[in-house]
Amino acid sequence: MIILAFDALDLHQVQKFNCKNLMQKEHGQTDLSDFNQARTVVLWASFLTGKNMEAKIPIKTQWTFQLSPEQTFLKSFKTYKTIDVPAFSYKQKNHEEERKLLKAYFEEKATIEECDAAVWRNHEENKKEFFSHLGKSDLIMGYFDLADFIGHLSFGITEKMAKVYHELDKIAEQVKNTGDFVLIISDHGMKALGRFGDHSKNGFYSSNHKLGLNLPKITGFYDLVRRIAENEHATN
Amino acid sequence: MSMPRINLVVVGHKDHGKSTLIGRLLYDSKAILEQKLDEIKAELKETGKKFEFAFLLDSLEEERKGGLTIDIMHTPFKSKKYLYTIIDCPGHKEFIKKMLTGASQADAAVLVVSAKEGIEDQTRQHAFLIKTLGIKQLVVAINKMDAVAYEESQYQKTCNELRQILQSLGYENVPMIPVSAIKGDNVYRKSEETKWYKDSTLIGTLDENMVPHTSQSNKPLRAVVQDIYLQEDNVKTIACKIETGTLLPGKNVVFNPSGKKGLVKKILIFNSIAEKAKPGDSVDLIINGIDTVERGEVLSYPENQPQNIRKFTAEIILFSDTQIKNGDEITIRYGTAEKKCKVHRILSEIDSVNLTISAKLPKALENNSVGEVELLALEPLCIERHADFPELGRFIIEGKKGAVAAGIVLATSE
Amino acid sequence: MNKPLEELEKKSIAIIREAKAQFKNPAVMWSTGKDSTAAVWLCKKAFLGKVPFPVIHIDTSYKFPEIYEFRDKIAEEWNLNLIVTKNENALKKGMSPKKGRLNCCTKLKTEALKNLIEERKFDALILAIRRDEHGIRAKERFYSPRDEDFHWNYADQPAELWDLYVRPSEDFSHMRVHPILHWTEFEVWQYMKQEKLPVNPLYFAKDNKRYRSLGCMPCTVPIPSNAATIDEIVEEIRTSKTPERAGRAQDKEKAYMMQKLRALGYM
Repeated sequence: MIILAFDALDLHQVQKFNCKNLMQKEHGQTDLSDFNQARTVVLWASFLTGKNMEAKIPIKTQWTFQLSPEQTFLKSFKTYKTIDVPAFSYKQKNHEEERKLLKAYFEEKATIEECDAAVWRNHEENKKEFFSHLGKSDLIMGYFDLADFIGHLSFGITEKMAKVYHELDKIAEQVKNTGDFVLIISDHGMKALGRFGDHSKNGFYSSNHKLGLNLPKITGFYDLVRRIAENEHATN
Repeated sequence: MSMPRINLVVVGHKDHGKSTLIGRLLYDSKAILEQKLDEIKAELKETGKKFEFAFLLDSLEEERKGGLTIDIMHTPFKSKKYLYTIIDCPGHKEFIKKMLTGASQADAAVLVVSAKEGIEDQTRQHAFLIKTLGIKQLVVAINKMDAVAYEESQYQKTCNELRQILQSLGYENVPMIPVSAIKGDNVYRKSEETKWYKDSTLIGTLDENMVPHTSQSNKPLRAVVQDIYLQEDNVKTIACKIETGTLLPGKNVVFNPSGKKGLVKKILIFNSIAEKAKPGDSVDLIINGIDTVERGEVLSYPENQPQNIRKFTAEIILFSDTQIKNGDEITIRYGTAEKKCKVHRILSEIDSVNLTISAKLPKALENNSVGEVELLALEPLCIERHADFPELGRFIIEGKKGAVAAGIVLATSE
Repeated sequence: MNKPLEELEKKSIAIIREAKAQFKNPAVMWSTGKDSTAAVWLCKKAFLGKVPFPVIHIDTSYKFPEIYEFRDKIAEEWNLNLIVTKNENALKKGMSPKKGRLNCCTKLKTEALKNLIEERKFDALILAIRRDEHGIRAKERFYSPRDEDFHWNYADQPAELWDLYVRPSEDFSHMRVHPILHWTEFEVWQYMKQEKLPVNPLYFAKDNKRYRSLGCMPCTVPIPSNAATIDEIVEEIRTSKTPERAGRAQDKEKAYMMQKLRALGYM
C-alpha cells in the first residue's frame, strides 16, 4: 500500500489546477468538524491512530509529539517505511528550520525566497527517499509539506501554487501504475487570508479504488487501512 | 483639543503585576481599539475560550514574546484630564538600560508593589533609580489586594515598610492606592471590597497629583549652542536651544566656557523676529560682538553664569558591558557639549538593591552598578549641579555604540 | 498655539537640529503622506523656512497619481531639494505586488533606498514614524542606528537618556532619526490643521471613501468615511475604533496571519 500524505492539500486547488493524478478514481473532502483547531500534528496523529488526539497533544510540545507503532495502523503491516511522518518519524531538524524561517519572514529578517528555497530543498530530500524505498515494503507512507508551507506565505500567488500542485500531481502520477492501493490524504485544507493561506477544516482524500465515501472523518481511515493490510497478508 | 500629556513609566519587582496593571489601565480607559479586541475575541472563540480580562493579557503577552506586531502596551490612554503615554515597559533582558531610557523621558512614575509578596529587591532598586534620574512625581499601586482578601492590615503593612524606603530616598507623602489590577479594583473603578480606603482610585490619584512638564521660564537663563548656520544672505546665526529662563533681545549675554560676550541683536524664528525665547525653543541668534562660537557652549546672562568646572562629583549608573576604572579617560556629554574627563577617584559603589554602600573607594565599577565618582575636567567645561539646573546637571558617558552610563552631578568645584 | 502641540513641535525641531549638527549628510524622507509632510514642514521651521538638506521621495511607480501631483506642487512651493529615486532595475525585471507584497516592498522601497544611500553617502535619514502607529515601533528610539543591511537590532539598542541624542562613533551605517516619534495620529492631524499644511487629496472622502494612510495603489485600500475636510478628519480620528493602518492590506493581513500561525503553534 502507498499513502501519500500531503499537508494542506485542498480540494478546490486540486480542481483549480486540474490535477488528475491527485484526484484518482475517487476523491473528496474530509470532515474535521470534531476538531477545535486544524493542527497538523494532531490531525496526522488522529489519522494514524483512528482516535481524536487533540486533547492529548498540547500545543507547546506538539512538534515533538511521538506515537509508538503499536498505537497506529502501522502495526498491522509486516514491513513498512515512513518518511517524515508527523507524530511518528517527523524530521525535526528540517521542520524546525522551516518554522524558524517562517518566523523570520514575519519579523522581516528573511525573504520569501529564502523560505521557499528551504522548503523545496526539504521536499526534494523526501521525494528522493520516497522513490528509493518505493516497492520495498508492504506500506510506504511519504509526507510532503510543500502545499502547506508555500501556501501559508503565498496562497494568493497563483503561479506559485500552480507549481506546487503540479509537483504533487507528478508524484501521484509516478505511483499510479505500481499496482498498489494508493491513498492520498491531507490533514486539512487551506483557505485564503489575503495573500496568505490559513488552515481550513476540510481536508482532501483520494483513492485508486472506489470507496464510496461521503465526507469521511480523518479518524475513519484507520479501519480502512487495517483492512487493506489484512488483505495484503491474505494475498501474500 | 489636544490634551496635556503625562509620560508615565511603570516600574516594580518582576511579577508584581506591571503588565497586568498597564493592561487594566488600557482596557478600562477603552484605549484598546475595538478591532483589536474583536481579533482577540475571535481568536479565543476559535480555541473555545470565553473572553475575560486575563485572556486579553495572555494575548498581549503572547505578542510581546513574539517581539513584534501590535505592541499595544504602549498605547496612549486618556483620563478626564490627561493623555497618558507609557514610555517603555521593558522585558527582562537588559532591563536597567531600557528602564532608564524610558524613565529619563518620564514626567512621573508608578511603582507597583504586590501586597502579597511585599517589598522585594527590584522594588527598592527601581525606586532608587527613579530617584537618581530625578523623577519627582511618584505614585504607588499596592497590587494584588484580591490575593490578600482586601485586608486593610496587609495594605498598611506594605505601605509602612515602603514609606520608610521612599523617605530615605527623599520622597514624602507618596500616594499609595490599594488595587487589584486583575480584578480592576481601584484602578478606574472604586472598589466595593476596600471600604476602609477613602481616597481616590489610581487614575483619580494620577489626575489629581500629576502635573505635566512645566517650562522653567522664571529660572536664570541657560541655553545650549547646537550649531552655527550660514544664512542665505551670508549672515552667520548661532543656533541655540533654550533650557531654562527667558532670552530677550537687547540684553548682554555670555557664552561659557569660552567666556565670549556680546549683545543679542535679533532672535530669529521661522517667519519672524521673536520678542523673547522660552525653554524648549530652538532659535537662531544674531549677536553683536560675536561672530562664531563652538557647539556645546552654554549661553547665559552675565549676572548668573555657569562656572568653569575643574572637578565634579557625580552619581553614575553603568549599563551593561561597561567598566570604569580610576584613571580612565572618558568622554561625557551634557547639553550639546562633548568633553574629555578623567576618572579621578571612584568614591563608592552603591548597592542599589539594598540601598547601602557596598564598597568604599573601589578601583572599578562594573556593568549595571551604581556609584559615586569624582571626575576631573581635561578641557574647559561648565556642567552644573543637578539640584540647580537638572537640564545641565545630567550627562551620559559615551561609548563607541552610544551611551554606556548615565550621571547626575552632585557637587562641583572650580 | 495649542500648548501640547507647541511642546511636541519644540521637541521635534530640537531633534531635527541635533541631527543636522551631528551628521555630515542628512536627508529627510517624504512620502507625501500627512506624517512625512508634517516632518518636512518641521524641517522647514527648524531652519528659518529653508530645508537645508535633500528631501527623498521613493517612487515605486505604483503610487497614486495624486501623490506625484502633490509632491511636485509642494516641492516647488516649499523650495525643496527633492530627490526622486526608483529601483529601475527591479522594475525592468517586472517587479510588482503580484510577485509577493513583501518581495515588492523590499525591491522597490528598501533596495531603492539602499542604492540611493550608497550613491549619495547619506549618514542620517529623518523619518516620520510614530510610536502609536503600530507594533514594534513602540520600541523605536529617536536616534536609531541601522547597519548596511538596514538591520535594526531592537533588542540591543543603545540607551537614550533625556534629550542627549548621541551619534555613536562606530557600529552603524546610517542613523534613522525620528523627530515625530512621540506624536499620535490625532495630534498630527491637529497640527496639520493648526499650521494650515497642504493635505494630499487622497485623505479626503470621495464617494464615501477616503485613505487613512498612503501606500502604493495595489496595496492600500480606502476606509469608509465621509470626512471631506481636516476638521471632519480630526473628528473622525477622535472617535475612531480602528487602528490607523487598517487600510494597509499588507500590515493587517500579516498581523492576522501571524496570529493564526501562532495559534496553530508554528511560531
